[in-house]
Amino acid sequence: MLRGLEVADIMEGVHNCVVNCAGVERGENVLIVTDTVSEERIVQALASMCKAQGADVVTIVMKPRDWPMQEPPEIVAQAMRHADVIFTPIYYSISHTRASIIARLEYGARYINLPTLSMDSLKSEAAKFPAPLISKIYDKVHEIWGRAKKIHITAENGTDVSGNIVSKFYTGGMPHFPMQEGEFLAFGGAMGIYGMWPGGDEGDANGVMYFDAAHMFVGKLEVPLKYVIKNGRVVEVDGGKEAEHFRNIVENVPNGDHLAEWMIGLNPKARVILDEDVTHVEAHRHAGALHTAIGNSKVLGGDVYANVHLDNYIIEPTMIFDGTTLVDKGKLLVLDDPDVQDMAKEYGVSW
Amino acid sequence: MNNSPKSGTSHELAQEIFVQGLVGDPENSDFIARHDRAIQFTIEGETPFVVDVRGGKVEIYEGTSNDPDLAITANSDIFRQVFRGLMSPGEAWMDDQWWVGGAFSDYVGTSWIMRLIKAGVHSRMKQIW
Repeated sequence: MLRGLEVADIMEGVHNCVVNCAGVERGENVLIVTDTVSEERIVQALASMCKAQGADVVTIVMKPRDWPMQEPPEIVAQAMRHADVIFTPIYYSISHTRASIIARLEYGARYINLPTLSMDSLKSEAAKFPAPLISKIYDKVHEIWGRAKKIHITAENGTDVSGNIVSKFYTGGMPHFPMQEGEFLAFGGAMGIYGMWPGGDEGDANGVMYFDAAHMFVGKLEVPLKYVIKNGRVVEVDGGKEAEHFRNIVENVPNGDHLAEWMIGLNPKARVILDEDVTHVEAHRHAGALHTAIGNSKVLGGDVYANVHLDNYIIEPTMIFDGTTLVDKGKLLVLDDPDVQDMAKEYGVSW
Repeated sequence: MNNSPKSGTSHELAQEIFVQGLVGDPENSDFIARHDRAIQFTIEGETPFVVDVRGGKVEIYEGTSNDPDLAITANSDIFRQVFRGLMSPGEAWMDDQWWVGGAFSDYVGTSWIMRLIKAGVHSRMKQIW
């Protein structure tokens, strides 16, 4: 079997990531941070595309981190401060670590996170999805979510949680395309998210959430994971065999109980793939699906730092903002907006 | 709007770093002109002030903005350490020493203001020494 030709099939997705999203240009310094268990062909393809753009590319291979958002070695952190663009095709993300935040915010690096990325994801329609169309969908979501004062989330699995949106500083989450200095993008074979930090100034999120999938566990959960949330903190964890893991984090990791984000996917081509990896990044970008994090919100407009950031997942939420429904049983309603549909036709995309 | 700084205040130090240092150094002109942002500074125990960077010019005035693009909240000791180059703005933020709002939806502005502060401190040091 001529396995090497598989790389050709991912190049359109890699081009979308490197050129349309990251905006890598001639003369820029690109750093690729990867680990010994990640897909070598993806690293080669990213480096090749950056080289083709005229960038100078340095690749660092490190030992995989022991858990998501564990700080990278200091030598990696220092190298990140000198890069114009950082790509991290990696097993456990380092995107929300001190090293990455300092590199981005204090040194202006553009950061593209590609955790547990597979060849299959990079071949997908989601990876090729036009960046301007995602921006249009983002703007339509922002018109509702970014101007609202109250959010209410329900789901048929029993989820019923609500909170106030106390500041414009706490909503958003997508970069420009092409990206600008200091911006962050998670490209999990797809891009497109919008969200908020539900802690807010008053930490007023309250209710109960049941999750269909959980970070660090492959596949859909047999028994939904349950969080009881009071004033922006998780006060009770229940569920199947996975619950003990999250209960341990909530009870023992400083700020591990902090509700760090509510975030939906915007990409109608992103697939709900839960059984291939522990991160579910492409599924998080599926239009209308919700992921919720506990732990660090520091990079998300929040002011709470934790040495952990774990995302759990609801496939079909209903989300209402000041009485306006944005997501109805997992369907992102702005996808039917005439402006969005017109632009989709321009790009020859339908869903 | 009052453009006259008070002696020994964070407002005065901001004037020194942003106006004398940053704007006074021609090397910074392209960098300053890259974005327009109004940044609200709230320093504990002091009158709030706004740093308005627009069209490559910097205006600083006491008071509050109705709709700032970014907001920085700090106590005066941390503010002085950052604006004297003794503490990195990013590390201070990570260590909960000061709060920089706008980070969720405005990474560009947050990154830019942190680097503007560093550039201003660097330029002011060059002028002094």
